Amino acid sequence: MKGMKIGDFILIGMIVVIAGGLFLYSQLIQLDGEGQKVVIEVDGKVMKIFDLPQPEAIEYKVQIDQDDYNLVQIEGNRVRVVEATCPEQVDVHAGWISKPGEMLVCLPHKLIIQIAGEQISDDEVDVKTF
Amino acid sequence: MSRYSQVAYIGILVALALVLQLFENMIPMPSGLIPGVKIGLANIITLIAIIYLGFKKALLVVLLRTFMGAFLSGRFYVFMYSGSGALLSVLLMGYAYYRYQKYLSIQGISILGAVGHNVGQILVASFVINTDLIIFNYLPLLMVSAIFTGFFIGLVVQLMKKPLDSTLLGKFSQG
Repeated sequence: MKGMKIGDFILIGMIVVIAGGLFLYSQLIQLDGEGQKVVIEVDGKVMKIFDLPQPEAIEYKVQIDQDDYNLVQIEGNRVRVVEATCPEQVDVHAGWISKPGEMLVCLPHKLIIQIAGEQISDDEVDVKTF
Repeated sequence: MSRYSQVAYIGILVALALVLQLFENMIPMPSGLIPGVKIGLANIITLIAIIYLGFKKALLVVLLRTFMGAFLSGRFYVFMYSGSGALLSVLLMGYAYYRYQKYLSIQGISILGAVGHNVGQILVASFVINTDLIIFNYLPLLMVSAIFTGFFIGLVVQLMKKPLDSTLLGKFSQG
């Protein structure tokens, strides 16, 4: 590697440490185990929470506004977005997620679907049931 | 170099950056585990601009390509997300280049830029979607991948040093 300098290694070291720290913290606030839930949020508000696992496949349509929606499918221990009006289809292309911490995101819809373990972080405690 | 030539060069760089960006969007990346991970080829241009054109012109190049990139993609929100990343990236790289040249190689500066890019995007995304979990779950992975992509970008620029030096070095008024 041409001309690597001392600062490079310090920088890389710092990145690894910070990334590691963030990762450890994410593991702490989300415990693995039974009682996992699928949390669907739009613009910071919890739209719906589903328990996992689901014995039968469920479909839930997140209606963003008159024309936009995301069709969520929950089957067994996993979730995916089957169909959506997101311009870039990032959430659809992502496929199934099943582990706590994994998430499906549609930025234009401000939609985020995540799997939370038993310990849901403070932000999600504000549940609005529909 | 006359002002007009400099303006033309800036235009060329912006166009190159846009082409790289469009080209990159066509490469399928595994978006299951890490949506939004990119190589950031356009940062090659940003880095070149910082080194040979000076920070102010580099900033101009970044703003122009972000703005036009958003127009080309047809959606304005792209401007917010990639713009914030690119902006943070050029600010960090510019600062690092002028203050810390002794300690950081081109690759190191590029890595810093890549990290800044990811951090900027994640911060804006988490603000818009209104969640902070995205920071903890994705940022670590993105930051580590930024080490690799940043290094690659910096390597590309360094390999082009000779031809770039002969055409661009010292030709631009810095500022």
